[in-house]
Amino acid sequence: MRVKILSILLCLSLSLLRTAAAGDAHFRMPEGNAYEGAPILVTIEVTDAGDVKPPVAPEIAGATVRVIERGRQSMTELRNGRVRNSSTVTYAVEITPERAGSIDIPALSVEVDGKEIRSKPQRVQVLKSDAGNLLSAEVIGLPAEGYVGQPLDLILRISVRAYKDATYGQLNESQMWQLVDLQGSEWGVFEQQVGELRQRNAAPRAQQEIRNGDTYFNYELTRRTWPPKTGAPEIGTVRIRMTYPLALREVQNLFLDRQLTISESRPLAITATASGVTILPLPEIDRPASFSGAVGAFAITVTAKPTTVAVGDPVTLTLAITDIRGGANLETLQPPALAADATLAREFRVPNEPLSGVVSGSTKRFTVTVRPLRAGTAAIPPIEYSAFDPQNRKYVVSRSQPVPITVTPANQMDLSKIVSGAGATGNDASTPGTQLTEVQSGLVANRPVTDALLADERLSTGPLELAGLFVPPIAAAGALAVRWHRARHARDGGLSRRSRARRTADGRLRTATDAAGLAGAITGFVEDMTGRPAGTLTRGDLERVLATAGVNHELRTRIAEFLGHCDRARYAGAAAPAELAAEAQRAIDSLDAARLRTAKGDTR
Amino acid sequence: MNWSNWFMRFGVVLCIVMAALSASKASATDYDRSLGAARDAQVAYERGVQLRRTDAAASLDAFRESTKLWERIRAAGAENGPLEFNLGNAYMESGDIGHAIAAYLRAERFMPGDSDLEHNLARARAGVKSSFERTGGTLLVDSVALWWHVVPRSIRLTLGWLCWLGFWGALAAWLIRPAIQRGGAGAKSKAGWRITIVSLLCGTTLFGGSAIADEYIHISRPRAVLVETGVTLRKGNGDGFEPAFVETLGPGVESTVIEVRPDWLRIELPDGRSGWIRDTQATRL
Repeated sequence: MRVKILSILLCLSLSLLRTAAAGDAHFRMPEGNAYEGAPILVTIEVTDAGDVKPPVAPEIAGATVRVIERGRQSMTELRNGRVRNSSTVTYAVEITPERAGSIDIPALSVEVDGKEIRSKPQRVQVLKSDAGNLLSAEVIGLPAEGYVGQPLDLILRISVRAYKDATYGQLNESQMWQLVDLQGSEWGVFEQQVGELRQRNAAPRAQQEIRNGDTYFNYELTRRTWPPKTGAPEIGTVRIRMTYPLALREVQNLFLDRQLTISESRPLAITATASGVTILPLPEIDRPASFSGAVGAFAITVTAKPTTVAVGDPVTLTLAITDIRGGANLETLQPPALAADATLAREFRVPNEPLSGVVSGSTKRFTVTVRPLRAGTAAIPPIEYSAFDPQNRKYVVSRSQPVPITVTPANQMDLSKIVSGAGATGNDASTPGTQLTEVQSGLVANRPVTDALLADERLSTGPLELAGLFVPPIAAAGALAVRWHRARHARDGGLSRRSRARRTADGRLRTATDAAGLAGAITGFVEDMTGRPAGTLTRGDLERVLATAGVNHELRTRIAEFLGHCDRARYAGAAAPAELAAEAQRAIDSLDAARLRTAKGDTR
Repeated sequence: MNWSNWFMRFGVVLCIVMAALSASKASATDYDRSLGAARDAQVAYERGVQLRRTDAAASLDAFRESTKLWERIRAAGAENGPLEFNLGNAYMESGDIGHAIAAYLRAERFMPGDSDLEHNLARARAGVKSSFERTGGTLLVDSVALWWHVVPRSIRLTLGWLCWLGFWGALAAWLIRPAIQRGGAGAKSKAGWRITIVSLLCGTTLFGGSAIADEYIHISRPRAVLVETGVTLRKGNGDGFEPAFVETLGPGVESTVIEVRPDWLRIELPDGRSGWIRDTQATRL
């Protein structure tokens, strides 16, 4: 146990002793000549330092200098029972010669654990760069000359000479693009495009070009901008670095696949400018008052909702600004200056607040609420939208169509009846009355509590309604029947008598007290039915009348026999026996059933 | 047969039947059909108005109480413009914009063109978050609708009944006229009768027909108003169907019921688009 504790303490003390050892710095100076515009590196490797102060970039005439921390490493090593901790911090001093000639790199210093360690000064010959033959970049504009706010396509064109190896042949455009240092380069306004390429691990569109017998790959990155200022467009710093191969070799990877690798290379760096692009200011001449900065070709349409309102009610206007040619920056497109539109402001209250729009496709819609100031306004007047047309190099004003609306007086208030407190007469139309602005919010009060609140005004089909619906036609039909009945009676004078004949005969039979009465009932019935005057029909006539009326012989014989019995009974002076009364009733029944014909041939 | 006696007897029997029916209808005098209930509803509403600025919660309770009382009166059989107007006000103050619009629309059928009603209905509609452009409709229908909405339905119905009864009465009188003024009716009198009868027939067609057409449209294409928030219109009558639209609709959206299935309604929005909703999510007019 004691031995183990002693071993651990020994290891710890050795470790501490090693850690406490002073750090060191190694400088790796560039070898050979440098090229104009191509950076050279001085690498400083600081090992096992407890405290390091990074080197300070020296000022070098004819060159730009910057210090980059390349990375930090720490390592713990256990060898033969001994623990060894080590750490490394690497700095790079990047020196980019600006012109051919020579540059003097002064002694670079780094402070390690309080001790300053310096390199030796070195002179480097700077040769005229031939990087332009290998790598070039420029930013061009489409169009090359445009106006502020006009859509401008900035194209970064990178031209790289294809490396051709005597043994392995020519590298293709994808392989050449992989040699471009995407991370170490500065891309300015093209940062987003390059980021997307890196994300997709893809190369930009490239075109092959033969120049003086050499093959060049022209890569293009495009960025659309709408320059806000005149002069050259702002593209930021676009500095492209790449490792250009000088020799290739074939190696085997872990999977024994043979692949090419660069055995010798040189760094290239090039800065792109947009010197060929010019942004012009918008002309001041003929600039409309309603101009709000729009550049392009636009059309304006206006819709209103609702279109029937009272004075003071809100009317929502939707102003749709459509980019006719496309390409305009609708996100920054400003709405029409409605508050400055005198025609609109004369009829409507227009808010001064800035409007926010919604972009949909090639149209940006602004919504604004206006309120009519007076009744009788017939339309939303045409709204003006002016823009500078860069193609025709002039300002163009487009106007919307008027939108018909109906503005009624607020709450049907007759302003002419307003009586002013100053004693002005309300009837004088020329005297301006007190302007009352109706408050649109709130509800009109309840209706009073009366029996009307309990009424059921639904369209119902109850018994009353059905009676009201059907009784009048029935009554009218009855009236029609009465009319028909009366007309028939008017046409036929004996109709009533015939109609009553049976009832009259029955009455006579009931009241008859002797045989003469019974006979009279029979003859009376025949007289009524045939339209003969009462009391004029004799027994002798009866046979003939009945024959004429179409009564059959048997019934005529029965009637004649019956009347004979009646005569005999009358002369005998006896009261009518019951048999005679019954026979009289049967005779009348038979005559009634026989439907006697009248002299004109009518039947009852 | 004595026709005069027959008519007299028929008239007496008819009067007795009608009087009995009227009496039976007027006999429903419970609280919900009494003016007392209406007064209580009105008092609750006015209490809500008074408390609005001082005690919002109590005010809301009062408005809701008023709403319940107006609904009880309505459930007891009363249905008319003023009642629906007051009910709509109570719903509006209670914050129930869907039921408020439904009540105002019902009131509109009884008293079209009423400025107070139009004002309150406009206020209610202004609170509806969804709006749609109205499509369809014809000039003829709209014109007719505008015409008959100028005259309240109760007046049109009354005029229609009067013309109906007058027409048949005049026709009956004309039919039995020869007995009354036999020999005294000249050509002028005959033309007068004809004009009267034809005018009454036209009046019947115009006033009664408009009321019947109004009722027919109301029955054949019933309207509905959404009363819930976040109503999803679906492509079919079930929650399993996909939503017809991404957006949901809020209370107060007016629509037309074009199909009814158990628990579900297919509604058509004013812009012509349609979808299915639960029947509890809307109130039908």
